[in-house]
Amino acid sequence: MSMLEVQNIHTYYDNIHALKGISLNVNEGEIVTLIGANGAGKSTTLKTISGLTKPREGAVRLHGNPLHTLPAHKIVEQGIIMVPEGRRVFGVLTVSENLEMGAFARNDKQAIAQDLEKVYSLFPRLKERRNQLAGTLSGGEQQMLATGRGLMGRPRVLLLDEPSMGLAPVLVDLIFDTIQQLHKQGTTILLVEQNARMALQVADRGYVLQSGEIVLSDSAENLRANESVQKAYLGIS
Amino acid sequence: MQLVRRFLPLVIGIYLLLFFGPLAGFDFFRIVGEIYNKPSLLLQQLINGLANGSIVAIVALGYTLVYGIIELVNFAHGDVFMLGAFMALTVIGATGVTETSTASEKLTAALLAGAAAIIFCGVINVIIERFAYRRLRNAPRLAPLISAIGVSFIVQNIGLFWGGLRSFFPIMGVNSAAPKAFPDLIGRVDVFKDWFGLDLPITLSTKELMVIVVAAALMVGLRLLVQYTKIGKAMRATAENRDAAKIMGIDIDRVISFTFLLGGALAGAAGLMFGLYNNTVVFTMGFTGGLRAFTSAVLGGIGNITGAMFGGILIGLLAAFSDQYFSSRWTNAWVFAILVTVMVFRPTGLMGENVGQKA
Amino acid sequence: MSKRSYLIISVIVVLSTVLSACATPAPAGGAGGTVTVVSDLPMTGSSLGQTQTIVNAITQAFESKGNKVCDGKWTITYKPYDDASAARGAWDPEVVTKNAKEYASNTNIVLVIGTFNSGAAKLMIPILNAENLAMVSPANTYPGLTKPGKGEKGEPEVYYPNKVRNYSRVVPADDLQGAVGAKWAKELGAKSVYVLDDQELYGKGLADVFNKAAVANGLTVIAQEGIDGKAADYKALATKINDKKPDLIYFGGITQNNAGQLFKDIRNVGFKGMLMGPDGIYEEAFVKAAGDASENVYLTFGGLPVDKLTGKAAEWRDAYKAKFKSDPEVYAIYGYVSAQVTMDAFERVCKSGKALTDRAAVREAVFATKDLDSVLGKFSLDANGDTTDTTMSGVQIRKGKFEFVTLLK
Repeated sequence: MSMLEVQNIHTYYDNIHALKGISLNVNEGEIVTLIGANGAGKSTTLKTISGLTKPREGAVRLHGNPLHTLPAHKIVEQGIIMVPEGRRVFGVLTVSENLEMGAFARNDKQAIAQDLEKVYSLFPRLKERRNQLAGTLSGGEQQMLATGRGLMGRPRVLLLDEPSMGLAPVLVDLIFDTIQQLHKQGTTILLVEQNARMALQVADRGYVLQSGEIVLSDSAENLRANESVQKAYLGIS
Repeated sequence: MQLVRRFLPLVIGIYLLLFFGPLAGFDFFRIVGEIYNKPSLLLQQLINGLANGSIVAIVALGYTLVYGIIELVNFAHGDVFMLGAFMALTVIGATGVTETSTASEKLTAALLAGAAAIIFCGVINVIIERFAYRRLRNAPRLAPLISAIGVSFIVQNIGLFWGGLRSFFPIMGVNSAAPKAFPDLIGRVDVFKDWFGLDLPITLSTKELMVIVVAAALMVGLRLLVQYTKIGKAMRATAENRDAAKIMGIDIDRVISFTFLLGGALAGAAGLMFGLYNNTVVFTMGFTGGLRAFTSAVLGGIGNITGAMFGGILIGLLAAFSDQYFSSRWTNAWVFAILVTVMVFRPTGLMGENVGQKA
Repeated sequence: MSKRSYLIISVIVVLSTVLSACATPAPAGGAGGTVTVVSDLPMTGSSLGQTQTIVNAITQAFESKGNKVCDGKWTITYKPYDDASAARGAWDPEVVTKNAKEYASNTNIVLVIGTFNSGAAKLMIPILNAENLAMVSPANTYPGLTKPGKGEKGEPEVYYPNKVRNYSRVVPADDLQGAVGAKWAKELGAKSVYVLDDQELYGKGLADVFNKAAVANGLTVIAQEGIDGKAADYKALATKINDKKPDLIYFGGITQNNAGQLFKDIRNVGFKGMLMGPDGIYEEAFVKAAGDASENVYLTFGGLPVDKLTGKAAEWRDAYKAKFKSDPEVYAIYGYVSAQVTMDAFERVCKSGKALTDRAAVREAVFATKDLDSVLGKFSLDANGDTTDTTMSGVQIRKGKFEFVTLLK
């Protein structure tokens, strides 16, 4: 049985039918990516898994236990951590306070302190600026902070929503290096990316979304080779 | 051109002030003369204003905390403050302590009354949020606002009913709506003269001292709580971005409940302070007191904790100054004229709004 | 809604139609029937202490005649209305207007005993004037309601669009009360006075009269200021006044406008001089609200204190106490007298052969009140609708009790 299972979910924004029966699964230790055009429903899928939006039909399960019935903060306690699109760091909190918020659901003080050091060693820039308000950081630093904040929750499954958006190429590389490092350490990752090329390089498997439906699912390798994927998402014609 | 446009309201304002100001008691040279002749009176009025403003500020904090976190003007807050004063009065009545009791009895009664008012108002405020606002959190802005006005009326009527229970609480006096005498447990001892033996032209009584010290302690306490505790940080995170807070594992319902608890507790403390300071409580005090407090919160920048304190004290000082040097008939007009002026030039209040940077 | 509730509602509708038809038989000429007299007083808020005793006294007066007039041909139904709202805790302009419109349109109502507050009268008189509906007030004292030249410009004509007077009162107006107050202040030894008012019609009117009369009596008026009746406290104002050291502070206003807090704060800042107020604070509620600060306060009002009443008035007081098991407040007797004026006017309407439902006839009869032998003694109503009775008393609060000091002329 796979670790995270999404079964036939239908999600609506008021009367807009955003997800029309999405089913996918993520196995322990895998990186799975969702690719698709703007508005295909990638972010909505992640939001539905994390509990920010509720599916009208269908189920989300972690090791067979339903998640879609839980409120968002309980889902976090299950180890499903999302790094949202556009960073969403707390601008009026300092860098270290932001990281502290990432560990909000945890009570193991010592382990939190250790994880904090880990994040600082992963992103030394954050350590330098730990007493600065997060609102004053650059876009790249904010992405580091958002990722670090996600790690502070000790994720069993990390949901990454557009981690490379709006970043300079150097920073994109750094972010993807980090993703691979996490992968090596055994973190399960569900990655949503516009940059399908990068995503398919690090991922084990991928799903292609179109207008709220999954139109293709295969190993990353096969997807990279797929002609229509190449045309639509990899810019190869 | 840009410059002209920018300062036009200021010029018009000064013009209006010069022409119509004297009608409302603004006579610059007379006022300067009076202050010059008797500066101690100005100092005395500053003490009066500071004490009054401190109570206003504590109530204003409740408005600003709630607005900061859910962007709702909680119109019922002033009335919760009134309930706090009633609770304190009821408890003091039950202890049987009066002006003639010993100091330790008075202190015990005041502490008991304070604890009761703080807990009671905190719980009431949580209940109000749970039943009147929570379900409307994602509704259009107007819905919770109307709900808040409704709750305000309900709470006011609870006060009216409570004030009529004189068979249970004899301290409630003649009839339900009448102003009720609040026992003077502190008394007026002149701090300068009687404690330090100083013969000054101004007096600072133990009452004013109590209000100012307690208010300052509450403000510092709140500031520390919001700044350094886990729940305080969660409050700030929730205020800035509710969804982001949720995915940190923050139970925002609990955080919002806690914010109402905190606001209510402050209102309860303010209710006791008001009773001990002014020695009269009445069921309509929540409406008028609330209006002043809300004005202070807006003046300071709603959602901004420091702003609310600053706004409250500023309004207290302003009102005292106007009573002394303008005319008490025009005090409300002056207070609101200042508010309008500030809003024209700084729509976000003196200290700026603080409701996060929502995208 | 279920079928059953439809049924119940239709039964209620039918029944109430039938019943109300029974309750108001259309009287032909002077044959008799039922008329309604209402009182319009603030029954929510701290005035209730006063107004409840007025309602009691009115009830008592009507019941003493078995609610019948004209040899039992006409029955009086008395209905007390409330013109206050809980939100204000005092009379509310909105409620007053709503009530007035209701009286005007309900043709069975032929006379209104009210109002209690002069500000309320200002709103109600014109509405009822247009409908020829007579008013008898047991408590309004603002001079401008009836007396030309004693109020603002255009008063009192503005209240009578019909050009015919319909409003009368059985209490002496404030041009007397303010004036005797100032005179009394002088007699008490005051040389300088500070005048405050609550910025309402009654309070400011009184304070203005007091101010003028004080000057006329050779007193120095330091200043006159208005207070916000809803402010939390008045320490700043009190500090300012105390600094000017007047011999006496006069407050024109009512208890409901925070008089208790004002007096407390005046004493709190160390003011040692005299304090005086009008009948608007002559009530138990003021003593309770002001506490120790009410001690030694001087009060003026029309009539005599309840425990100084003699003769018929004393008999009335004892009957009241026996019936209601409590003491009447000062205005209660005026409620009784208002009802007496009403019944006297009704009798005369009957004698003239007209029906009591004839509002114009009732109005005329009220204004023709002459040498009415009331519990307050004989008095008449003049062409302005004012009473010829001008008894004024000065009292002082001592140990929380109202002690009669002197008759004021």
